[in-house]
Parts: sequence; C-alpha cells; structure tokens
Amino acid sequence: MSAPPSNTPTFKLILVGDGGTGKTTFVKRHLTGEFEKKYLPTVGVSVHPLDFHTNCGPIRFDCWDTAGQEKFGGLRDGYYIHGQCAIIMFDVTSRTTYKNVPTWHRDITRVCEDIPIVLCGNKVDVRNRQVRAKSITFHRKKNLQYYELSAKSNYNFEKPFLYLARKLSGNPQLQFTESPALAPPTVTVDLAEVAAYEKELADAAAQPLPDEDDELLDA
Amino acid sequence: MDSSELDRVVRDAFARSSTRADGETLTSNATTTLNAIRGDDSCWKLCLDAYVKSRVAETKFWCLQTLAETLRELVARGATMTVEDAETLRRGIGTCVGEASDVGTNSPAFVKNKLAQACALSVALEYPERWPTFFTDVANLLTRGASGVDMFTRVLEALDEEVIATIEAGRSGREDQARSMRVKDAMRADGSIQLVFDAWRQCLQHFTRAEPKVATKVWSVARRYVEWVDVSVVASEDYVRCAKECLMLADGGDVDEDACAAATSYLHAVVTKGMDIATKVQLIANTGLVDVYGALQSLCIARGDDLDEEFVTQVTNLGSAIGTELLSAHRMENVTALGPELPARVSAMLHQVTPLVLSSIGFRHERAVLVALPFLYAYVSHVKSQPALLSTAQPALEVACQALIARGSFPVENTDGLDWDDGASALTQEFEGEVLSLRTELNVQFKNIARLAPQLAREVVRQVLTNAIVAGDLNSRRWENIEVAVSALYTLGEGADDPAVKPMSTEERSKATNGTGEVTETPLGALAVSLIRCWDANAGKAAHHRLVAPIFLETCVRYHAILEHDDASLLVALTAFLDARGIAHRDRAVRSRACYLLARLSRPLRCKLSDRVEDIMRAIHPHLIDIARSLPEQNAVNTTVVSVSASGIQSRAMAESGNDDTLYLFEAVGVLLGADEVDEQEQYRHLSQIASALCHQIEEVVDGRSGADDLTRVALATRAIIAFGNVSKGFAQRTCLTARPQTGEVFRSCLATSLRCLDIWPRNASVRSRVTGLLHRMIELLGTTVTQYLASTVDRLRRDADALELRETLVLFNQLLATYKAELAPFVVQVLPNVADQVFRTITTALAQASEQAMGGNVAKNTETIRESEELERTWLTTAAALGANGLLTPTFTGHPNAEITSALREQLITHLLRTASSHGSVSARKVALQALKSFIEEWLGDDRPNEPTGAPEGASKTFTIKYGPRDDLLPGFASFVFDRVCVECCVVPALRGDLDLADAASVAVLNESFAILAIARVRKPQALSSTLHRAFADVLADQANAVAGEYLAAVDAYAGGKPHTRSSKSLRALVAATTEAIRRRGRVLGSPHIARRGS
Repeated sequence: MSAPPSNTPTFKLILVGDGGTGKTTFVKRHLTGEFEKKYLPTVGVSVHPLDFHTNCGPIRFDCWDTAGQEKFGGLRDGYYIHGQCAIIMFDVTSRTTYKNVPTWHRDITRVCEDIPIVLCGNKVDVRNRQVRAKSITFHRKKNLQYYELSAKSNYNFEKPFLYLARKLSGNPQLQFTESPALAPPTVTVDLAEVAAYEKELADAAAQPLPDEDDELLDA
Repeated sequence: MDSSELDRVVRDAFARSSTRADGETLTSNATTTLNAIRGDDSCWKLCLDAYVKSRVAETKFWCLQTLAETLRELVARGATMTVEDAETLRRGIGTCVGEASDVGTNSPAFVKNKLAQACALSVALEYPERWPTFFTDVANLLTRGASGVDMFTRVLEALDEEVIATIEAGRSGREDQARSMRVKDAMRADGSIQLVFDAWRQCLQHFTRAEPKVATKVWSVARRYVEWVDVSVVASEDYVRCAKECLMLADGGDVDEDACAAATSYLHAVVTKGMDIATKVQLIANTGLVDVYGALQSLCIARGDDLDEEFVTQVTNLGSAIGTELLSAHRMENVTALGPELPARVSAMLHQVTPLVLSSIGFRHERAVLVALPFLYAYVSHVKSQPALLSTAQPALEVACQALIARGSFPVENTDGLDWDDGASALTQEFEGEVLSLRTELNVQFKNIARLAPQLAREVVRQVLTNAIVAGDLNSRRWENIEVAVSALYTLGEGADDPAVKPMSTEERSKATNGTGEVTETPLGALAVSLIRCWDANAGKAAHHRLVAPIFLETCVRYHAILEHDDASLLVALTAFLDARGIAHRDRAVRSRACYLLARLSRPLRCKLSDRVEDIMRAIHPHLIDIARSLPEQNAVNTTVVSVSASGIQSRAMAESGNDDTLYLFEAVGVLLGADEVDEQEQYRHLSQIASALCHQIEEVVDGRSGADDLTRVALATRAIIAFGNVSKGFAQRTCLTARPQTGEVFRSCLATSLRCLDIWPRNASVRSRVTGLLHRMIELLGTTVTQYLASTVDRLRRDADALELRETLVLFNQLLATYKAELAPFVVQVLPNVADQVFRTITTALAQASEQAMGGNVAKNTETIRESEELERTWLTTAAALGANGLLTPTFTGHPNAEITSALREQLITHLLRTASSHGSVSARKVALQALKSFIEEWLGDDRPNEPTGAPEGASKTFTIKYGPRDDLLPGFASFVFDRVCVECCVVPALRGDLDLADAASVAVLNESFAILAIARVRKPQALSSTLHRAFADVLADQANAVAGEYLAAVDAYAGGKPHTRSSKSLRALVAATTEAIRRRGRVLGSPHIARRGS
C-alpha cells in the first residue's frame, strides 16, 4: 500500500456485503479504471487506498474490501476494528443480498459504534431488477444514507465517498474538486428507469414503514 | 502457545498497512496459525484463558470471536456441552465480564460488544436449564456503577440481537423462532424480565441527570424489549414518570437531547406496541402522552432550528404514532370496541394532536418532515373512508396543503457559496437536488389531498399563485415564490379529473364541459389560463430564472389542451418556448429541457401549429445547426468543483454516448413538419435543408475532412444520426412511401450516408447502437425499400461482436423477421448460419469461463459474463421462435439449395431447443423453446387426417383449430423425433419429474405449451402419440400405465378440442399431480428434477 502524502487525512473504510454484489469491482473502478467482468471472490480482505481531492484538501479512504462469502472469511468482523466509516453493498438483482443487509449492519455497528454508514444498491443498470425500490426501507429504520449505484456505468460512484467525507470532516459543504480516474461507463443508465425508481422511492418514503415480516416477504 | 506469542500472531494477522516486503507472507502465515488453533474443538477454553492474560485488545477480540463462533455452532447444531465444560464456560464468562466492567480496565467498545455477544450465545445455549441465574448474575454488575450499567445494557442488547430478535435480524428459521420463544418464556416465568426492567428503572432514576449518556443507552436498549414484554411492565407508572423526568418537562431545565430522543423513542415503541384498541386508547389517555408530546412539540416549534435533528425527528415520530393510533381507534369498525366514553376522548385527543403533527411539515430538519408524512397519509385515508368527516377536516387539510407547498419551496435564505443562478455549480446542483427530492415526497401527499378534496387544493394553489405573481408590485416578486406556485399548479394537474389535463375523447370532453368543449373554463383550465395569460406581464425577470423558466414550460405541456383552445395562451407559451426563456436560454440545462418539452408539446398541437410552421422554423433553424454540432462539454475536470450529482454524472454519461436532450429539437421539427396539413413543398424544402446539413456533417467526419480527432468525429457523426432518427419520428410510412415519396427519398439517402459510419468505426459501441437504432426506425418508416442495406449491415454488426453486441444484432434481426416475414428467406439463409454459430460459441465460452472462475465448486450466477450470456441465449430463443412465427422455417431449412446450406444450423438449432425445453433452469426460456419447437412441428409433422376436415378425432370436440400439416413429414424421421424426444422429454417428463412449480403462473404457461404440442401430435397422428405415451409410462407405472396414458390422451383431446380462451390448466395440473403421486407410490422416479424458476 502506498503511503499517503504527508498530512492527508486518512480514514479506514469498511466495505461489506454478500459475495458477488460488486464490492471489489466498485473499488477497482477507482483504482484501475477497469470494469471487472470476471468474478474472483475476495479472500479475507484486500485494502485499497482511494484518494479524493476536495475543496478542503486531499482525503484518503483506506478501503477494506472484505470477503462477502463466509468461507473466505479470514478474520471476519475482526477486520472492522478501528473502522471509521462503512459501505454496505447489496445487489438489486438478488433479493438474498438485500435480506442479509441487517446482519452486515449489526456486525459493523457492534465493532464500530457510531460510524457513518452508507447503504448501496449496486447493479441498477441491469434490467432484471429483483429488489424493488419501494421495498428498500432498511436505511430509513437505521438512519443510513442510501444510494443506488452502477459500478458498470459509474452511476453515483462518488456519492458514498462524498457523503462519508462530509460526515467525517464535519463539513456539509465539502465538495470533490477533481474527478477520480474512472473508466468511461460501459453502459448508460436508463434515465427514465432511474426516474421511475426515484419516484417509487419517494412514494415509498411517504408510506409507513412495513412490519418486519411484510418487508422481508416483499423483498 | 503462550499469551505473548498469541498476541504476536494476532497482531500479524491484523496487520494490513505494513510496508515490510514480507508483510503479506507474515499476515498469511499468522492467519493460517490462527485457523489451526480454531480447528481444535476445545480452543474456546484456551481463548477464555488467553482473554484474561492478554492486554492487547485485538487478541481479546479474537479470543471472544473464537468463543462466540464455537457457541454459535453448538447452538445451531442443538448440541450441549458437558457439565464440566458448562461450568468452565460460566466461570470464564463471569471472569471476562467482571474484568470488562472494571472501571480501571477501560476495554474498548468492540471488545465489550464481542463479550456481550458471547454472553448472549451462552444464554441461548445454557439458559434457563443450566444457568438459571444468568440475569441475576449480570444484574450484579450494576453495583459497579456506570461501567457496570454499560456492560449490563450491552449484554441485554446483544441478547436481543443474537437470540430474541428473529426475522428483523435475518433469522427466520423455525429453530430460531423456537429458541427466541423459549428464552422469552423463561424470562417471563422466572421473573427475569421484571428484574431487568427494575434494574433499568433504577439506572434511569440514578443516572438521568448525573450521566445522561448512560440513560440514553438504557432507553435505547429497553426500547428493543417493549414489543414483547407485558404492557404493565413497559408502561408502568414508574417508567412513564422516568420518561417525563428525562424529558425535564416539569422543571423546564435544559434537556440532554440524546437522552430525550432515546426516551421519546421508547415512548414511541410503547405507543405502537400491539394491544387491543381500547387498551391502547386508555394507555395514551392515562399516561398523558398527548400532553407530553404537545409540550415536546412546542419546544421543537420554539427552538426547532437549534435542536438536534434526531431529537426533533423522534418527537415528530412520537406525535405521528399517537395520531395514527388515534385515527385507527376513530375508525367506524373500532369505535364500538371503545365503549361509551372513550370515543369522545379519542376525538378530543385527535383534535389536539393533528395540527401539532402537521406543524412538523414546516420544520427545517428534513427527517422530521418525512416522519410526519405517514400520519398525513393515514389522516387523508381516514377522511376518505368516512366522507362525513370531510367538512370538519377542511381546516386541517388546508393547513397541510399550504405547509406542503411552502416546505417544497427553494429556501429564501442565503447559503455561503450558493448561487441559484449558476446551474453549472456542483453545490447548486446538489442543493437543487435536495429541494426537488423533498418536494417529490411532499407532492405525493399533496396529490393525495387533491384527489380527496380537489376544490380545496385548487383554492390553495390559486391563493399561492395570487400571492406569488399577482399581489404586490413587480419588483417585490421573488422567483422562489413564483417557482413553487407554478410547480404546485403543475402538480395539481397530474392525474386530475379535469378535461384541461385529462386525455379524453371529443365526446367525453364535450360531456365533461357541459357540451361546450371549452376546457379553458373548467376549474383547473381557468386557473391555468389565468396564469399563462398574465405570464409575460406579471412574472417579470423571474420568468428568465433558470429554475422558473422550465417549470412554466412544463406546465404549458401539461395543460396543452388549454393552448389548443385559447390562441392568446398559445402565443404566450410558444413565445416562451422559442425565446430566451426556452430553447435560447443562457443555461444549457434549461435549453435542453425546453427542446424536450417542445417535442412533447408539438405532438398534440401539430395540426394547430401547422399554419405557423414557417415562423417556428425561422426561430428554430439557427439552433438546429448549433445543436447538431455542439459536442459534450469537456471542461468538467477543469472546473473548480466537479459535479458529483446523479444528474451530473448521468448527463456526462449520456453526452459521452453522443446524446442529450437538445437533440429533441429535431423531433419537435419532425413532428411539426410531418403533419399532413403542412404543404408538401414547404415540408420537402425544410426537410431537405435539415437532411443536407446533417449528411454534410457525417460526410465531413467520415471522409476525415474535418481534421478533428477520432473521438470528436465519432461524436459529431452520432449526433447527426440521432438527429435524423429524431426528425423521422414525426413522419408516417404512408407519407414516405405513397403520399409524398420524395420525402421517403430524403430519409433513404440519410440512411445510406449514416451506414457509412459503420464501415469506418465498426467496433465503436456508440456508432453501432446509433446506426442500429436508425436502421430500426427506417425499417418501420420505409419498409421493403431498405432491404438492400440489411445483409451487409447485419454482417458488419456481428463480426467480432461480444455477447452484448451480438444480442443487439439479434434484436435487429428479430425486427427484420417480424417486418418482412417470408420475404426475408434469402437473407436469413445467407446470414443466419454465421450468426448462429457465433451465438453458440459465445454462450459456450462464457459458461466455460464462469466454471474456471468458480471457486469452492460454486459458479457465481450473478456475474456480468453469465448475465450477458443468459440474455444472449434468451434473445436467440426468441429468434428461433420468430422464425417459426413468421413462416420462415420451411423456406429456410427445406428445398434445394437452402436445405444443404442450413442443415448444420438446423441440427444445432433443434438440439439446443430440445435441451432448453427439457432441462433449462428458466421457465421463460423453456416456454419460448417449446413455442419454437411447436412451430417446427406445425410446419413439418405429417398429417394423417383426410384432406377434408370431416370431424374431430375420437374424444375431441368439433371445434378444434389445429391447422392441417403436410401429407408427409418434410424431413425424414421427423415424426419419430417429435414423438420420442419432444413429446416425451420436453412435454411429459419435466412436469412429472418436478421441474415445474405448478403453483406459479409462468410454469403453468410451460405446461400449457407442452399440451399444445401434444395436441398437434395427437390430432395429426393419433395412434403414434397413443403408443408413445403407453411406452413412456410402462417403465414407471407398469400395470397402471395404460390407464394413465388413457387419461393423458383424454386430456390432450380435450385440450385440442377446446377453444383457446376456454382452456383451463386446472385439470392439467390435477392430472400431473395425480400421475406424479402414482409414480411416487410405486417408488419410481423419472430422474432428478432440473428445477426451472421464474427469472433465473
């Protein structure tokens, strides 16, 4: 791991979620600019330093990309120790990955109390979406930030990092001043579909939160 | 291994930032060593020992993690420890907990939480049988002061997370539920739960003022237990008093906001706890919760902006919950359960709570606003269900409407560095996104009220509009007020039942307007007219604001029916579209939107606007050339602040792929010019001018005359191609082919020019998709006159294509099949063998790659490669079915010389269809494969019936509709293939083998397709199917085979004889179920099922 430039604030970011949700692909968008089609399960953990430039100076996230599959666990939640922020990722084309979000959240908060956490629904570019926008309510219960992502198209790539940077710096006006080196998108997210999802999310937000049973059956 | 050695190994295993060259090896070795320790069944004893000895937090964590995993495994297996081990565990846990609760130890939170987790799992394993004193033991921690209370609450929190909570914690198994129930019952029975709540109460009494953080933790953990603990415990007088003391309402002291938020959240849990409605109302009334909430809400209203968001949100949440519960009690069906006195109290409390909760809509903290909305939703639903309440609810609804509109406004206050005029600034985009996102949620409620009380909502909007653009002098009008007022009118029109916005036939419109047809005089129409007519005079410079201009244009589009009937309004709107408030606005985003909206507006008004075409074209023409040649902005990296909003990245992505909304201006032009009312020469002149400019742009870049780099050339070419496509959307095939053929010539020459791009950039994704898109459109528009371009284009597209590109090529191919049908046979024979070969190679390679990448024997199904390959396969199956559906099977695969050319393809295709129909994992794939096979059978299976349709086969009704086939099989041996392979392997066996879930409609559709094939076979060769079924059942059903085959034949006959719309799958499902059961009873199987699922 390369040493950060002197005085660069560096934060340990925990990236968790079920296997195959796209965690490694997501961090690699920043590093290598490649959309990784191959699926190579992460063993244990791999740490990637992700640098961003803000109007308050540079910031680095040491991104701990953890194994999503239990059998490649290594130290499992031991990797979360001293984590300062986290991203929980699920795959909107796989219901099981959303069902397991509460478990990931519980495991993180048990080790890292009161850290900012972002919930990310990845692969929104895929047409065969299985987790409907209106059934995504976990973030509302736990007061997390939620973003829909597409690692493949770069859609919303920077959003989770910007949110975390603002929370960690305590400066809600913090902005990124340079784009990280991202690969050009390999697909374009369908604007109309995104708008429809956003509308669905808005409609869902106006409804009372479902009972746990209803929600899980729904998801 | 001694303690210091373990410390070293754990430290090495955790190390990730080491710069040492051997760092990775060290980590890997250390992890292996730790895994080896874990491999020993009694490692947990070593861990308990090492925990106490080590001073390193990571080592302690690892020890506890190992212990917790051992316990979890025992719990999951339902195993028990030996008596000695259990004793060791109790002692060890006791020591660890005691150590962690020592004031001097200062264990980090992650160690304490891991320890608490281990305690919770010990409860699951040992309580109550062998550790009945667990809760008494942990309650003893309280004597240690704050650190003891801290550990006590952590243990209780972990107990809920690990054992008691089930579905919400992701544990929904029967064992999980039973374990949770067992622990809860035991806690109730032995008084542990009372002990815990008493302990917490004492903590609250002691620490609320002294150490609010401790009290905060106690409230938040106690909240978790409210759901299942008896109401007399969780809402006892003592607890309610504790909560009130914590909220410090009595003495007016400064509140600790975290503790207050936690206490409020506890009260919220009490209010929403499940209980009968009368008890709930009594609880709310007796505890004085309405007054408590009232006092808290008053505090929030008075000091809203200074208070913490969590506190304000929890207060609103409590109010919203009380209000919703009271609404529920107020329902007709519940009122009788309340007895004689309570209904009046409910009404009074509801009257008190409603305005308070609605006042939260105005709070600055967004979360608080959002939690108030579900109450409003419930309130509106309540009034909807009891129309008599509407008149008394009017004031509350009016307040709600006003608050919803006002809260959705752009803030008037200045924010540092924020300039609403600068749409390119990331900060502005972000703030704008936040305002609009909140407004979207507020609008859901506003529309809900508008549906319930349209007149009320309209009057509120009228008032808001009057205040914004009529009242006061021109200079005092603020753009923020105008924007939100116009936006409210726009929202009001969405889904409104008014001819001014609702698509209606002339008759319906006439009826709805009392025979006048004057939509300008309907309630909503009159309101819109009043706004549009006065827009130029009253909006002033605000009309040019980048946030006001587009919403006015949006409103004009929504209320376009008005413009059709009111020339004055039409003129105002058209001017706004065409001048510096629309397509000539200085802000690019506004220009883009205006172009898109003009395209939307042009369509319904094309006749009305046909006599203004010359004027409109004069205003638009200069912009068209600019737009076609304007490339995506490249300056994003150089700006001081990078746009990171979704729309920013999105528009960048769209721009990079050569598209943006400004190109809709070409669609607007196409729609206007394409109207029949436009003079033919005028139409041709304008169209030729545009086409000539666009063709010139393409030729310039294709020939390399422009001198630009490749990226720029591609971008310019794709923009021109999209522009062609957009113009063509306004024209009809009739115009281009028969009425005004010279128009068609213009488009054909445009297509020929555009196809040249594919020669220059065959692998460029943007060019491929744009050219393909244009070709799709031209096929629709120009029909058979474009067939000359097809073979070379498809061949160019498929060469070296990957899965995704190949799929897109197939989509084009399928469209060609559907459009030209049998006429396309020579083309299919020429192109299809190569395409098919490439498809099969691509699918096979993808599966091979996925298998190579699989680790631990698992092939990941949600990877990109697999998904692309599955999509390609699905599209290929559609192609196969389309060949049949469009009458192309016989011309493609039979006769000389086509049969020889396509013989390999035929084998490949049919084999794939057979395999898919019999064993694919997706029901939809099976269905399409069966449909394709059915087409083959319909065309090629010989028909034994006499030439004249003299009647149905035995047992069938006279209404059968199965068409006559050829006298003999078109392919030697085809009949035996159909009966032995298709009928048995694809139509009969899968359902009996358990492949299909017949409770699912998609699977039933597969069953129906199977019987449709059997029906054709039965009607054409009755005896052959009979023999086939008898043979098929003989092995598994022995002496019962004849009877079952007979039932199948009867079912097939009934299916063949029934009209399609009267066929019921019920009897088929029953037959399959009965046959499956008969086979099972005989202890036979038809092989392992290949489960087919929906969507997989």
